Amino acid sequence: MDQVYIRPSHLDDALEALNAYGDRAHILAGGTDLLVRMRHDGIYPEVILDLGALGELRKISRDGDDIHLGALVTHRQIEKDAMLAGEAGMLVSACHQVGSVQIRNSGTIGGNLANASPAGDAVLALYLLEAAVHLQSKHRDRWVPVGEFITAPGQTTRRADEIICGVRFKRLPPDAAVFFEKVGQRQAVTISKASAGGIVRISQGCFQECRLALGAVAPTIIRLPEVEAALAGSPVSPQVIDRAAALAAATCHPIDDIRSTVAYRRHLVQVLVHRGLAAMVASAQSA
Amino acid sequence: MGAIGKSIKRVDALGKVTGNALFPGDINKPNQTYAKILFSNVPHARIIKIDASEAEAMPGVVAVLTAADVPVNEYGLNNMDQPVLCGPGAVKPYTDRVRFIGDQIAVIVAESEAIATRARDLIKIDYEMLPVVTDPLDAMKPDAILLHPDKGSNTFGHYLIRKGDVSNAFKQADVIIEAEYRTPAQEHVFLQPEAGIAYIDEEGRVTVEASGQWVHEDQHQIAHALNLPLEQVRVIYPAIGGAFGGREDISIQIALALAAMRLHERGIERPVKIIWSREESIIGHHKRHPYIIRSKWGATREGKVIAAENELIADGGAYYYTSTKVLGNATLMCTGPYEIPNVHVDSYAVYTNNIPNGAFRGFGGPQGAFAAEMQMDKLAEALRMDPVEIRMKNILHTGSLLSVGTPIPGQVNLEEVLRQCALKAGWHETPSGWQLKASMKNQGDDGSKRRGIGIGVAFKNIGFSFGYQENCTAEIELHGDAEIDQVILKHAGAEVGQGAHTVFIQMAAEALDVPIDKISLIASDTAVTGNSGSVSASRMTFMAGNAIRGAAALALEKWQNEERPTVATYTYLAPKTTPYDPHTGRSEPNVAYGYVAEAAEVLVDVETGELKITKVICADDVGKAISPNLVKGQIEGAVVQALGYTTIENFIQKDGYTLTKNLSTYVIPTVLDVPDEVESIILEFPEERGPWGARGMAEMPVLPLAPAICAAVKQATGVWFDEFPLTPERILTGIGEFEN
Repeated sequence: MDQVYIRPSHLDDALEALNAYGDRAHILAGGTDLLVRMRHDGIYPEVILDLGALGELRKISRDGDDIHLGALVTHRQIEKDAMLAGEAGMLVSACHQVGSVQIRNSGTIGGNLANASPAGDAVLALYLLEAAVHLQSKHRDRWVPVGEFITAPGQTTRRADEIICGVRFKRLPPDAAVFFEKVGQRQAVTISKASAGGIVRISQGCFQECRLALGAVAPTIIRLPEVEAALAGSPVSPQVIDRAAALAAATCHPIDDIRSTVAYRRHLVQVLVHRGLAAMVASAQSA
Repeated sequence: MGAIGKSIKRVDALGKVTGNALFPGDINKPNQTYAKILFSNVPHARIIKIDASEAEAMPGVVAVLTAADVPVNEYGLNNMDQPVLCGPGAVKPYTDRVRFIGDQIAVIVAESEAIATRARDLIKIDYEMLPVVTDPLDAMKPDAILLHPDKGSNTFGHYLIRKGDVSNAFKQADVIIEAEYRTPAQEHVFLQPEAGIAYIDEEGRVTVEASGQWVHEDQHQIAHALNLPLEQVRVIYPAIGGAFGGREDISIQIALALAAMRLHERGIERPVKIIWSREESIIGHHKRHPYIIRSKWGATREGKVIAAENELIADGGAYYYTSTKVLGNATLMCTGPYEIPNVHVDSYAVYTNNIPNGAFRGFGGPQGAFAAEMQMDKLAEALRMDPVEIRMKNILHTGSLLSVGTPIPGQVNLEEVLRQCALKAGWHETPSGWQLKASMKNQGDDGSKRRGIGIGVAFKNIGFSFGYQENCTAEIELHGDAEIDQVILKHAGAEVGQGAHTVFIQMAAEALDVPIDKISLIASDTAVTGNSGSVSASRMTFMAGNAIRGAAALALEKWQNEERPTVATYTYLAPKTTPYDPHTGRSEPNVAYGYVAEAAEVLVDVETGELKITKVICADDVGKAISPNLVKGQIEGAVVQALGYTTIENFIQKDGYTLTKNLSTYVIPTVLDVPDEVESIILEFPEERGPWGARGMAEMPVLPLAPAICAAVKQATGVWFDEFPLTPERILTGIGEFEN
């Protein structure tokens, strides 16, 4: 069987090709997922649409408080960007903890979204940022909130003729404290057994606004609306943090698999959320 | 002179850093074909029928070989109990069954790897499934399904040691410690998966270029299975990408040789190449043996161990491999490097439907040492005695009687090895004995992080021995007239990455008193090099050095007698040893030993269960460091491998199926997981039988690290872990954070 390989130089050509081939085409961005699947899972795409020449999708741009990441922006680019650390710190820490430098040099934010892994580190940060995913086809152009874009492990609402062109989110206010923590099987090049991230603002001794997300403990990344609601307006106290961490652990629904167990993952959620909240409180108080 | 004892540039360095060195997967020959192997992928079954007709008919397929094509369908390093290809049609009974998921059924030869792969998937196997037994304790039961019905039992190895009278001694003991230890399987993860190329050479020999640890043994097993005279088979090792014991047994060699021979018989003069994927490598070669060790040891109030009773059960997996040899070592090592007057050991190797288990750096030593050192630490705790102090009271000295009733050969300086390690690690000697300095006893109060330190000692035999006549051949040619202009050293010892070839050349230069750059090495080719024995069991520096020294002396004598060019061949035969006596275990098991003490500092996060090894101190009596940087490299490499074994490497098999078939599920340490500091203390107390006093040393740093880490974790958490790897899940379950 012959394989078609297309590497367009313009987005319009890419959209045209995708319009023609639809779900017969596999989109290649950084290749850190597709090439592995081709090698090991016997995936043999009829058509490979390589976005690699679309320089327009490699940019990080800003418009007022809006930040836009092109789909081909790599984890390494995010990690090394001079401003993102102040604008969306946990995205930078999450990207820093993905795979190895080699993987981060290849792997893209668009690919991370398309792969829709419940253990995706960068995607967890996008959930916290309430990012919107930009999808384009020859006929359509739409923005979908990341939490609606990913529906199940490996499943998204991307239609066969659509390309993920980028994501957009608002920069965080300067007084927001953030965290991202993961625990894997080893210190680096590791898939999260569980991960957690958060954003809080604290004023007058109370949590004013709070967003929390967990990875690898549900079919998708999850936000924790009950915990966020419980925290909002609560005074900063050890008891409140304890309760929030316990509620987070009770809310998630992890599984046993080759990498870890339900009991450990649930325990880890409690520890990571507790540590994250405590760290954010400490950083907010020292600011 | 002066060629040994210093760190020269490795002779293979330039080729390896420039990419010029060819590993088996890099070797291509004109018009080559590509082979793929059909593995059973079921753990236990009888093959009723193989239908390869569709595969054979596929365009681009050159040949499909099955059991009926194998002249003598059996192989094995110590016992030929494994079919080359499983299936009906062979003369030997019971070769029609598969016993683990990596059993080989067919070799598919095609124009490309892709075609071979697709053809493989078209082969239909009609199986009659058989019951699967994976727990060695179940496999030992009388009603268990037999993996090898012709053998009458799944237990295929048993040793015992009876020294003194343990039951009487237990009555004298002030403390008795009893425990059951479990050690895990471990995958070698050599960088280069199995690969090779086979062809008929210019002299008509079936030739295999592949990686291994003993060219002549590979040659022997290939010749046996192909029913060819030995000289009709040639094995060559190109550059080898790591071994660690994982290449001691045959993987692809016979399949490749068979394919080249059958093609040749059909008039197809084409080389056959194969490269295994990582998944194929992981199911296709053996693992380190998991052991169950039940121990009961007794000591007096003064800290003298007076009785040690151990029962060891090794999961041998589906075939013999080196299980009994590994078991022999574990049987000797399981009472530690201590002189204990009363010893009672029973050890068993058992067939199961798991992947076969076999050689892996340490070769039974790490399993035995784990039980021994844990017992010592627990006795020390029960006696409120320092762990260094109790070891000092029992440690082997020159002339000490081993558990097998004979004195240990050579000078023993283990007390000094332990002393140096202990001093560096934070112990000191006080009027009332050895103690850990008070500053090191602090568990730390860095939030959830707890500190701990542990220490262990071990001894490791040099060579297989236990009655095996260790031997090693070297050949030296001297060219020149008045002066020696050029030296050619021919030696089969495999360069598996450890630096053997560099050490050979250093030793030849020293023995001949010529500069290193005058020596060239012809290595690892059965057509031109004599038998060196295996690169394993920490034996090659010791054996090769003695062989090279003998050949050099002979060559220099001939040189003096004006023989030009001079050719001298010498086979070193190590002193005799004896096997275990079947009734008492009495033996003179080994020629020589190396000695090691190792301390580990850990940081345990008691909330997440994560374990970080922050520092390892490893003191090794190597006799003589022929090439000190290579010795240091071996120590550091062994520490990392042992650390992975103890902490994160978790090889999971369920009902005979491997769940960790790749390196994203079977994880090994990254540079961020290794200790911040590994301090090597290289000690040189000469071994009189060794070349220039050298002992072997490449395995011994593996032995005491697991128990040293467990002792450190005990200090940090207050909990003994009798089973590893020490995953966070296991640590938190152990300290009572949750039920897993």
